[in-house]
Amino acid sequence: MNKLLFAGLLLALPLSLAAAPQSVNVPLPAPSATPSAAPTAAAAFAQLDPAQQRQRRSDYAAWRALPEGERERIRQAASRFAALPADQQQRLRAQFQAQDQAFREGWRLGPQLGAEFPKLHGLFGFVPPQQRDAVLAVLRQLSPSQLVQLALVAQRTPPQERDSVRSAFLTVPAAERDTWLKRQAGQ
Amino acid sequence: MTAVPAPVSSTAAGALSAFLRGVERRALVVAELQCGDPARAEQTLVAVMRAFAAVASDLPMAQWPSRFWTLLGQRQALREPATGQWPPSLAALGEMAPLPRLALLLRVGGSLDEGIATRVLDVDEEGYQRLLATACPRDADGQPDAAAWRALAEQVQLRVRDLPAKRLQQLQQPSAPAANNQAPASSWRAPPRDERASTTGKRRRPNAKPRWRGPVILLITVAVLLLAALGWRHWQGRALTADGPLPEGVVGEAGPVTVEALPASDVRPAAGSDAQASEDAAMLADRDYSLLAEADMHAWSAAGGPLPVDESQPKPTHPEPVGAALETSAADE
Repeated sequence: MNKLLFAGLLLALPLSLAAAPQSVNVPLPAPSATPSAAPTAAAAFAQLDPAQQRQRRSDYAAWRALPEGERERIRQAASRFAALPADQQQRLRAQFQAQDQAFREGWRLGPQLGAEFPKLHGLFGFVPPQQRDAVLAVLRQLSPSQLVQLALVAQRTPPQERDSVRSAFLTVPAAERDTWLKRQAGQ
Repeated sequence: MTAVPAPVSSTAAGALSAFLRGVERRALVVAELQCGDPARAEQTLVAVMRAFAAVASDLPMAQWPSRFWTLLGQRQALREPATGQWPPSLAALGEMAPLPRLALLLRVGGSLDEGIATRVLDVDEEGYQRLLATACPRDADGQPDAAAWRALAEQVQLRVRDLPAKRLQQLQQPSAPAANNQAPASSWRAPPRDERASTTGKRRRPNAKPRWRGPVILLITVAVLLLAALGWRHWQGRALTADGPLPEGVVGEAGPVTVEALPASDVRPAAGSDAQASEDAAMLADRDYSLLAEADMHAWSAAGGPLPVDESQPKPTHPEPVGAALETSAADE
């Protein structure tokens, strides 16, 4: 049993970065929610198998965890996508679906972090569950230039030092991050 | 889930070839490290790509990854590999039984999620976890060794990244012939012993033989038993009634079988199901619910659709933009 638990923890991979359903407070539906959409969505949701339903719940948790600005970018991209001709939609879907799971999961973190995620993967691909929320919160506070620096740090940190470098990074106060990142990236 | 049937057209060929380009690197490494024999892995993958190209247009695109990996994972070359050879850094792979090794490789090399991996391996979630636990390297005390697992995973991923482009070029022509459902052109490297992944135009699964043999044997057995039972009844010379005495060892129709509809199924555990239901209701009522399934793809397109840089190249190039349409739309932001 112990080893199963271990395997489960170890293999959480980047999924562990996406918010877990149980840790999310689901807000009440907005009053403006379209009443007619719900029954159709509910029927479609009921058709999904249990694994797909779990997936959808975790997608929703990840969505709720996004800052509103990121959600808005995704909404706009979705409406642009809907306006594309069917063949282009299809090509984009195929292109995206062909990428590996870690790459695709990274985009659940939103357009900004998703773009950096492959580079951050070394440092943040395996995150202990208890660090997950802290990691996400800090990553979302970083400016684009800080993210670039952090990607450098992630790439230059040897595997055996990743845990300690990540933990150290999480404890750096916001005001000192620039200095820390520069020093660490220069090493 | 959005189900987009892929029409047979040049667009579909484009989508198919984009898909295959995205998976082939990982697929080749998985096959190679599973077989321990690069040549056999290549042959197998070519056959799988060909078989996949023949069926892809009949499938919704969302099922492509799962079908592709299932075709690959169920090949005999991967299921029952002959003795192979592994480089020293990956020698641990050679010591594993084939199935745990495949589970590990699908995870760390194929980067497949659990849903697809369980289908490929034909096991339930628990069975999958057990396979991975079996594959996990042990330390001196026999405990799972996390560092060794990560080192192994990194070695496999390194191999995926460093796979020479030349080896991939040899695999890269499956989509064009498939677009017109023609038999693959002669540019295919036809594997000598893989007739099953056929060019006959029949869309047979490459593993069709082992799959249907079981049910056919079962059917024949049932038919023979039925005939024997009928013969027995005939020989008795009378119909067995519910009340009549039954000969020793014969099962009679001892009364009408009552068929009841089961109550509407709700298999969720009782505890917490109310909370779950209200969370689900909130999710379903959210105006963004329809976005969720593909929110990852939309986030990707919002960022301009960058594709992973090929890290086997000495100088990383800029990520390739996805397409003109997207570039234009990204530019309006």
